[in-house]
Amino acid sequence: MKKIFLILSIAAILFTSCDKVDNAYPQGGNTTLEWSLYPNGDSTTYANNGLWPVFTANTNTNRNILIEDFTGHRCTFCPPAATEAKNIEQTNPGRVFSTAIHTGPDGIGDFQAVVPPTYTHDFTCPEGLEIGIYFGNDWPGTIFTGNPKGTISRIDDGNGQVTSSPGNWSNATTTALTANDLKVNIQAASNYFPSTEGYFLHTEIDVLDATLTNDLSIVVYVCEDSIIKPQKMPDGSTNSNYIHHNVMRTCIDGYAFGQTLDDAHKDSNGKYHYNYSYKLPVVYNPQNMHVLIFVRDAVTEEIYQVIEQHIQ
Amino acid sequence: MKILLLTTVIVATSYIGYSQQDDGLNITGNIESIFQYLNEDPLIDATQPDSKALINSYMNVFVTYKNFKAGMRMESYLPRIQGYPNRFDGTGLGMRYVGYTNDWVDVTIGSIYEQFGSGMALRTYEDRSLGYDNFLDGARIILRPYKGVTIKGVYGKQRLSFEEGKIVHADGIVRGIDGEVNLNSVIPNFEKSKFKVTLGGSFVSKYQKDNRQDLILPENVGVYGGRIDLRYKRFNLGGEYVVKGQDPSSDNAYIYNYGHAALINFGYSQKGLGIILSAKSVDNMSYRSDRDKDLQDVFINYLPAMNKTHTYNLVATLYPYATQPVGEIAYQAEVLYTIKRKTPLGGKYGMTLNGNFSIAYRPNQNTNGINPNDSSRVTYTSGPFDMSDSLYWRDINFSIYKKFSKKFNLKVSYFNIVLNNDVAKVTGNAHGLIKSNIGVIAAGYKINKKHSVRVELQGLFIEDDDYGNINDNGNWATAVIEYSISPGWFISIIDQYNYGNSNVNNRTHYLYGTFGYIKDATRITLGYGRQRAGLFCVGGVCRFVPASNGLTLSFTQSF
Repeated sequence: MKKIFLILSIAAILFTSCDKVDNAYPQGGNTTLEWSLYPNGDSTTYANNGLWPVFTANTNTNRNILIEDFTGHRCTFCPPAATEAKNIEQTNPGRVFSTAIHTGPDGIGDFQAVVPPTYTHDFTCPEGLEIGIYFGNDWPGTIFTGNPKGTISRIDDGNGQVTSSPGNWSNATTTALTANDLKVNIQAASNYFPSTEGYFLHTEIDVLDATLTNDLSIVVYVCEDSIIKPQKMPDGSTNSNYIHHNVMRTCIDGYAFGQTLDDAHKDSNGKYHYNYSYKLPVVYNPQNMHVLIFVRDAVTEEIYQVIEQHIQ
Repeated sequence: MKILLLTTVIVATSYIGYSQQDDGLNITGNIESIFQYLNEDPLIDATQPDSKALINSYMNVFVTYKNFKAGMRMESYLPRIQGYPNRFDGTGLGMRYVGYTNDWVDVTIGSIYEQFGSGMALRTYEDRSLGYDNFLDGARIILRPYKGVTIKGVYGKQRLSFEEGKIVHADGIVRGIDGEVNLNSVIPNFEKSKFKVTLGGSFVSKYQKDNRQDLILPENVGVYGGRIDLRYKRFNLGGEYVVKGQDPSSDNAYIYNYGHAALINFGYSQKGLGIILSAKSVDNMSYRSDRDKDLQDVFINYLPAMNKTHTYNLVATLYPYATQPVGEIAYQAEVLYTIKRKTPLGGKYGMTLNGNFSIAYRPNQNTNGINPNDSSRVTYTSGPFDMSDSLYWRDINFSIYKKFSKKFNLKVSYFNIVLNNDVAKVTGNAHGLIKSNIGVIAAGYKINKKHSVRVELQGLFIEDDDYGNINDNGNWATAVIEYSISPGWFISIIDQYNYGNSNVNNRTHYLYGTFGYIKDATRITLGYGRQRAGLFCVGGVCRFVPASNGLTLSFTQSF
């Protein structure tokens, strides 16, 4: 009889070992988001209203490419580089995204400086400058010594360099698109609430290539498109109605190099989930705003995938 | 598995010729086939399916040979008849198992029907009339190590559906163990006591992967509880209490409350008198092996109904009550008393009186000190039998049955039913409480040795709604006449008439005729006419049956 009760007791322990959840919300979810930006309640209401996405299987098979154009509004050779980036983007819709990061190799240089009375607008942001200094100063043997330069998904050119001149961008992009080596997949969904200027971004990262052993980070650039501001042109003139495309304004979480993908954000299916809340500054028109979400290798800096998500 | 089973059945079948020589072989089973040919009938919103004809077919075969057992059920939906889950289709094996049993062990692999205690922790069963089958596909072992001691263990995935002739399983895995001890058998000198005591305990756990990104879902959800059954002479008292862990689901809007359920049954019986008193308290006890399913899909447990399953047409089908697994507190009392023969009231054959009362309320959900919007997602507390004043259901009914002579008997019944249509929704034409009074007179007359006739007259009178308007579809009347010619023939006609419908155009007759023949274990029935849309419930479990107009042919055979 004792054996029976022993068996029953053991079985009871085994079978009643049910999970207890004290905080129903995932990390990066309820606990870290700024719910005051959600005008209709809190995290529970947000979830109950079906605003928190349930991602289905990510069927994407294409590796997208990000062109980072290091530029400046007083850089005379920069407008052709911006045109090149835009042309490559338009030639490969949905596969190539470009962003203009106003930075020199030392951060703010002559090309980026605010010089009244014409160049009064400050296109720089701390995160963009941090990136510029990193690739311009800190990168061993860097060729980013002046604008314009750029990166094509920060892919190594074979000589240990991830930055290159605009003349190389098209070929480098074509090579990467042709190889179409998709190692990381990203899905995203977002909600914008005009009354609070609150933006909620939900991402899912699926690391497809198990051989990636370096740390990976997710980075989100907040970009503004179609800003009409003066730009110094190749002929030395100033175009006061120049349209600045896809200007990087900040990083959504303040991290220029993003957040490392870690187990705390990993679900039972092995996918990572990073969620963000962001208050859009009133100076921005949400219809001109989008985010670029990408995953970078923390050692090689290569960007394995990038997607775009419009704010409104 | 299929090959093993088929081999078993084929081998067993090949032994049929030898069965008289080998007493160890036993083959039983049954066949059922229901065919419908349906017409359009816009008046009652009956539609004709594209295929016009529908058919459900089943065949069960159960084989035992010495210590071995095997069983299977072939099912066929080409396509399924109306009211069955529309995902049922195709022909194939819908259930199958093999097993071995002796005095102390019973092992089954395959489709398992099992119940722990009253079923509040685990019950898998088939009710074909409901299209309900939630068996566990896996393994079960039953041990009887000592006299009076039974230990059961089950492990498997539940049947969710039957598609393209194949069983479709639920997402989650179910594990369970149950132990029961009859103390009279175990304790020396207690065996002959008139005081009988049985104790039991159940532990069930389900596993389903966390499939949401906005919530951290518990992947292992357990239900555990104990029960006791006491019997002393003519009295019996039983009780069971189970607790469920956090189980956010579509049933409870993904809250993280614990669940609990209590069941108490008291009974007394002596010749001519039976009394049953029952009480049930349920809070947040919907327990499915897929948290995202609803309706009657993949319930692991069963919450016993605390209301009488009525059989008269108007009572059973217009305002039935479905058990509320999310929460209810219910009570039931039933008294059956037979007035003795050769008394002034009892007369020559005696007279049977039956009274039944059942009531169900919403549990009280205490929110003091609880922030329902905090990150715990625990939205209230509720204790056993802590009920609110929100009525879900009330049924007061009684009947008198008297046999006046060898040829004539009469049964008179009255039912007063209140149903909260906002909770246990049965109609889209009413809000809040639906109150109805139903009277039934049923008379049987045996014309001669072979011929008999039975007549039923039923009236349902619905009370006006709060605004003084005719509630739902108003009053109904039903007349039934059945004529039997023994040993095998029978014919019946039923007419349900919605004479009180506020819309004169909808005062419809639902006339339905049935003709049938029974010979030994074979029954053939042919029916034709209109059938009203409504809920069909058995034991508090219900399915919606749409309106239909047409022919139904059914065949059943047992062997």
